[in-house]
Amino acid sequence: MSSAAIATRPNWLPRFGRYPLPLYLGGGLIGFIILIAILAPWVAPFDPIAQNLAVKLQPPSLAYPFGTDNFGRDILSRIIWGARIDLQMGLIGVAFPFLIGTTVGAIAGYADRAVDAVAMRVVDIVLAFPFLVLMLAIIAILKPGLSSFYIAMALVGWVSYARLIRAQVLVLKSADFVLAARSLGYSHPRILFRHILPNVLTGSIVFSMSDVVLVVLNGAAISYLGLGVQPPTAEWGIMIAEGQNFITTAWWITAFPGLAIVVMALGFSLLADGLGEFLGVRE
Amino acid sequence: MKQTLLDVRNLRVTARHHGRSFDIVEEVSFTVGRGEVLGLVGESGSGKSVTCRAILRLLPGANLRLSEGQILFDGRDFARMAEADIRAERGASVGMIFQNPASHLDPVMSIGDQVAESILVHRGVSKDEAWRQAIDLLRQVGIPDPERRARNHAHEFSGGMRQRAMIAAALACDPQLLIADEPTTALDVTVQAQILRLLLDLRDKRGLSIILVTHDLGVVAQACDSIAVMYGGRLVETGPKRDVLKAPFHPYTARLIACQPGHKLDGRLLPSIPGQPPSAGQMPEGCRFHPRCDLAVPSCRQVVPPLVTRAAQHLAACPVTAS
Repeated sequence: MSSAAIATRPNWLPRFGRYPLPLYLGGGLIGFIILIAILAPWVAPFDPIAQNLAVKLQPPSLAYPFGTDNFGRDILSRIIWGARIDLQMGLIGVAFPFLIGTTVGAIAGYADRAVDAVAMRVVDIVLAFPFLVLMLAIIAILKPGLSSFYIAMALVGWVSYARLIRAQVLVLKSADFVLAARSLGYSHPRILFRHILPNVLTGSIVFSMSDVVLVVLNGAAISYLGLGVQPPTAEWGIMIAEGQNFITTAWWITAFPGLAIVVMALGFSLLADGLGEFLGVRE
Repeated sequence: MKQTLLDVRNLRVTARHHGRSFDIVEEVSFTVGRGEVLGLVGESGSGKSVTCRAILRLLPGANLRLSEGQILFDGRDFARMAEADIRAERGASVGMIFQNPASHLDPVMSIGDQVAESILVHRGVSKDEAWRQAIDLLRQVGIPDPERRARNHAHEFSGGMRQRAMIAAALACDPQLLIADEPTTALDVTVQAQILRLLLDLRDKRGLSIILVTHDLGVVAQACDSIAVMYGGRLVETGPKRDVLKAPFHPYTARLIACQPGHKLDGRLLPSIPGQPPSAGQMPEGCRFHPRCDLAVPSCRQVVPPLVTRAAQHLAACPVTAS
């Protein structure tokens, strides 16, 4: 398959060594953000929550490359510390929906029609509510905060993975190699999890990369509405929310965290693209 | 007479389709002796594959049901076993290989892992031991440099090598019977001969019994000890290979043999059997073959002819040639 994939690749896509270019670019961007997040205490020039009203609303300068906000906090430092929260939000916010959705979807696709029908009706019910409204309702019932956000994400976000995996399992369960596996006397769980699932997982791994972007944006939106990360914690969504009152006079308060979200989104979509090409999901 | 390994009695597979039910396979009985190669012959749709899959209770879909009959394997009746028990028999007592080895191998698992998995599941040995045995098996089925090739995936193998790998996986737990569902149909003629030789080789070395499903009488003539001919879901003739090929009693078998390309054609068109094989659910009354048969008499349209012994171990279901 790999040789065929190389032969049919459009030749305008450059390729360095074994991996497609987007994989390097995306990996590089995300690697950079992860590095910054880990090294935050050392690379951030200021304390992200220390207020210094003497220097409030400073435009970008050498001392404050991204400027300061209305409390005199350094925007650059806040973005660097915010990377920790936003990365964690993206990864944990995707991991649980991925695990739940994959398991439910795989079982629904493989088991008999009754199980499938029940699982898919639950999916329909979750999908019947607008995504954000359902998230808000769940977070409001729990209590505002990051862990509620993860729980809400897990309860709402799994449906897309379940649908994706179920559809593919449904096709593969009558595949020839599954019949061959059954003729060798393998149990149903073994066939499902060792033979079918590895064959369908690539699609949802690629989807999960682009899903990270959506989750981060969601998290930012939830924080913006005051239900996610609570101030004064540095998080990109809150920073945008807090800066909106000053958008006409101090654009840098909202622009730079916005840019950070864009860069992270770009990194993950490039990663999804490259991964998809590398794993043969897209040609 | 060889000792009987598999004794299929009165097998019936029923299909349900849009509330209507009809039989896809009817009253099929045959035996396979130890070390015997039985050729199961017939056109597409004659019920060969369904019969094979019914033996291991691997019927496709929920609409097909093994509705009647016994499948006695070494005295155990597969037809009446609990699901968990028949699962333990699959691979361990009866192995199965298929027509298209490319699609019957898992695309994302290495060949060695696929062969080793079967050993791991049925034998419960350690991973290293299973891998060692898998390499040994790959060598036995004639894969060169098995230590290196075992790490390859199915797409890196040629058609013949894939079929060898599938044979290795099917034989990993030393089953006594191998069901080979058109194992050479998708292969080059030269590779076909190699695979057939390999199967016969394994028969000689391991005392393996083989059910060889094919529509190629040439393959049967090369490889089989006995033949069972199916038409429209029923057996029409069974017997030792030599007798059936030399002196067939059923007109269908005779026509089938006449359709094989031979040496005496002298530029004439290859003969064919006029008409279409009947499709399941629209079987003609009486003898399934009568609409296409030259010898049909009025009674053929009414009664389904039973299999009758015509010579030593040679049965046929045609009353016309008997009288």
